[in-house]
Amino acid sequence: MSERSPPNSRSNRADVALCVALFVLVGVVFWISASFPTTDNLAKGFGVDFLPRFYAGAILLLAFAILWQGRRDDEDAAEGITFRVLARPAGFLGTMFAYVLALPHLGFLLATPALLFVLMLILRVPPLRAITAALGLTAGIYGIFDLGLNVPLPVIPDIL
Amino acid sequence: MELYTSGLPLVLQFDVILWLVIGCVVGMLIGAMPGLTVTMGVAVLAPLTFNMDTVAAFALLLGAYTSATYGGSISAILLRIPGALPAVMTILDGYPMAQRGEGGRAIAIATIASLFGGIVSAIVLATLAPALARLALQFSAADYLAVSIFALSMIVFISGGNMAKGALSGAIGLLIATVGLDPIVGFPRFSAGIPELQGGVGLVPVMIGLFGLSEVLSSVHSTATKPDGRIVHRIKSAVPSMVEFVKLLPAMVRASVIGVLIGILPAAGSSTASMVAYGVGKRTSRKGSAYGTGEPEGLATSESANNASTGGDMVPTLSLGIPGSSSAAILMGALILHGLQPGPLLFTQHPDIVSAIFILFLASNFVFFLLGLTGAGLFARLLEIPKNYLLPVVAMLCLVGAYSLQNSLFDVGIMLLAGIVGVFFRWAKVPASPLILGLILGPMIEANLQRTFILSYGSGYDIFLRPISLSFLIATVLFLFGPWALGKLKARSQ
Repeated sequence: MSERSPPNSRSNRADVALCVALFVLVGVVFWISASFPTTDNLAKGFGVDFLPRFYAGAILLLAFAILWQGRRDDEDAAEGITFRVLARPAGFLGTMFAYVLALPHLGFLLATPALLFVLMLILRVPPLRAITAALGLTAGIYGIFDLGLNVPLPVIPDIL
Repeated sequence: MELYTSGLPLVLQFDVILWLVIGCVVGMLIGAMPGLTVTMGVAVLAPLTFNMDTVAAFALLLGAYTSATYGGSISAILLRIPGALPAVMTILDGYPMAQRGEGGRAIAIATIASLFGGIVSAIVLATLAPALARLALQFSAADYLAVSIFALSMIVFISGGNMAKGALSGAIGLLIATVGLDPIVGFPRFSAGIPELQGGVGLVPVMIGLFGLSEVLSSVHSTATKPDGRIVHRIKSAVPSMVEFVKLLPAMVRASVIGVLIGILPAAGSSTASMVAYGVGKRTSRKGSAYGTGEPEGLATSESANNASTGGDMVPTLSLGIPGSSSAAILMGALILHGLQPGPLLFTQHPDIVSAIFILFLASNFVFFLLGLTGAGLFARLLEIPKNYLLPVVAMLCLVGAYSLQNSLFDVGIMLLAGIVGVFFRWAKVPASPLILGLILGPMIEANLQRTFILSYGSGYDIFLRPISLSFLIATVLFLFGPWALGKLKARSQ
C-alpha cells in the first residue's frame, strides 16, 4: 500500500476558497427560494423552489466531499497565486470591463481601437505597432461582423 | 429508388452547386466565429432565399447548416472557443493537440470525422426517416427525463481525474439553468428584477467566457513575460494516414450512431449528442483513459457525433413536420415559404424535392470536407501569430461574439463573469465542461420532470413503467456502476 501524502496547503487553499464561495451561493439560493410561491397543485412536492434547492443541497454535499478529499490527497494541488501573477490578468479584465461600460458612449469604432491598444500595451507590444495593429484589427472585425455577417455593432455613440 | 435519384437533375445545375459552395463557405465562417450560432447562420441566410428557386434555396441553407456545425470545431481547436455549441467537447482533445503543434492535423481529423458523421446521418435520413420519426414520437416526458438523466451521467466521464469536482461543476450548471422563468408556471427565479435574466442565463456567453476568456486571462501573465511565444508546427502533413483513419473508424461509427439517434429526438440537440458520444467513447474505448489529453480518437468522437446529429435533426422535420431543433425549425419555415408542407405527404407529393434535399445534404458534407481539408494547414497558421498580438484579438472575439448573439451588452457582462469563474475553476482544478452539460440539460430535466409528475397525477412512477425510460435508467446504472461491479466480481473470483 502506498504511503499517503501529507495534506497539501495549496490544494487546501484553493478548495477552501472554492467551498467558501459555494457555501455563500447555497445560502443565497435557500434564502431567495424561501419566498417562492408554492405550486404543489401542479406537481405534488415539485414546486418552483424544488430543483434550485435540490441542486443547492447537492452542491453543499459535494463541497464537503471536496474539502474532505483535499485533506487526504494532494493530487489536485492548485498552483499558488501571487500578486505578480494576478496583476496583468486583472488589468486585462479591468480594461475589458471598462470597454463594456464605455462602448455605448464612445461607439464601437472609437472604443475598440482604444481597448486593443491598451491590451497590447499590457502584453508589451511596442506602442507604434500596437496602434497600427489596433486600427487594422478594428477595421477587420467591423468588416466581418457588421458589414459581412450583419451583426449590428453599436457604432454610433450615445452622445450623437 | 426514385426517391434517391429523381432530385439529381435538379441538383446538377450550375447555380445550385454555386449556392451550395457559397452556403458552405458562409456556414464555416459563421460556425468558426464565437457567438454566431448555427441557428443564427441559417436565420441570416433564410430571407435571402425568398426569391430563389426552391432547390437553390436549400443548397444555400443546407450548406450553411452542415458547415456551421463543422466550422465550430476550428475555433474550438485553435483558440479554445467553441465557435458553435456542439463543439464544446471538441475543445477537450482538439485544443491540447493544437498546443502540441498539431493544430492542422487536429482540424483535418475533425473534418474527416465530421464528414463521416454527416454521411452516416445522410444515409439514415434517406433510408429510415419516416420510421425513425415515428419512433421519436413515442417519447413521452418520462422518456425525455430518462434520456436527460442518462446524458447527465456523462459528467462522470468528462470530469477528468476528480469526480467530485466534475459533479460539483455539473450541479452548478444545473443550478444556473434554474435562473429565469419557471417552465411550468412562469415564476421568475433569481432574476433580481433584471428583464434580461428572465429568459435564463445565455448558454453561449457562458461558454465563451468559461473556455475562451479564461484561456486568455490564464495566458496573459506568461505571454507578457515571454511576448514572442508562439506554437511551432511539428507536423508537415495535416492529413492523417489511412492507417490512422482505420484506427479512428470504430470510434467514428459509434459516435455517428449515437449522434443520429440523439439528433432525432426533438430538443435534445447536437451538443447533447456529442457529450453523450464522448462519454460513451471514454467508457468503452481502449483509449478512453487518454480522452481529454489531446487524443485524436476523442476529437473524432465529438465531431462525428455532432455532425451526425444534423441529419437526425432533419428526420422529424421532413417526415413529420416537427422540427428537431431551432435550426431545423428555420429550415422548415423556408420549406413552407416555398410552398411545401413538411410531413408524410411531402414524400409522396414532391419526391423530387425530397430527393434533392437528401442529395444536397450529402453533397454539403463533401463540400465542407474539401474546404476544411485544404484549409487545415492554413487555419493552423493562425497559431503562429505571436501571442501578444493573438490574445487581444481572441479577447475581442469573445466580446463581439457574446454581444452578437442578441446584440446585448448584458450578455457581454455574463461572458466576463463566466471568464472570472473559468479562471477560478482552473485554479481550483474544477473541470468546466460538466457545467456546460448541466446548463444544457437543466431546462430539459426540469420541464420533463414537472410534466412527468403532472401527467402521472403526482406519482412520477411513469419513468419506471415505460419501456423506453426504464431502458435509459438501466443503461445509466450500468454505465455508472457496471465496470466497478465487474471489477469487484473479478477480484472476488481471483
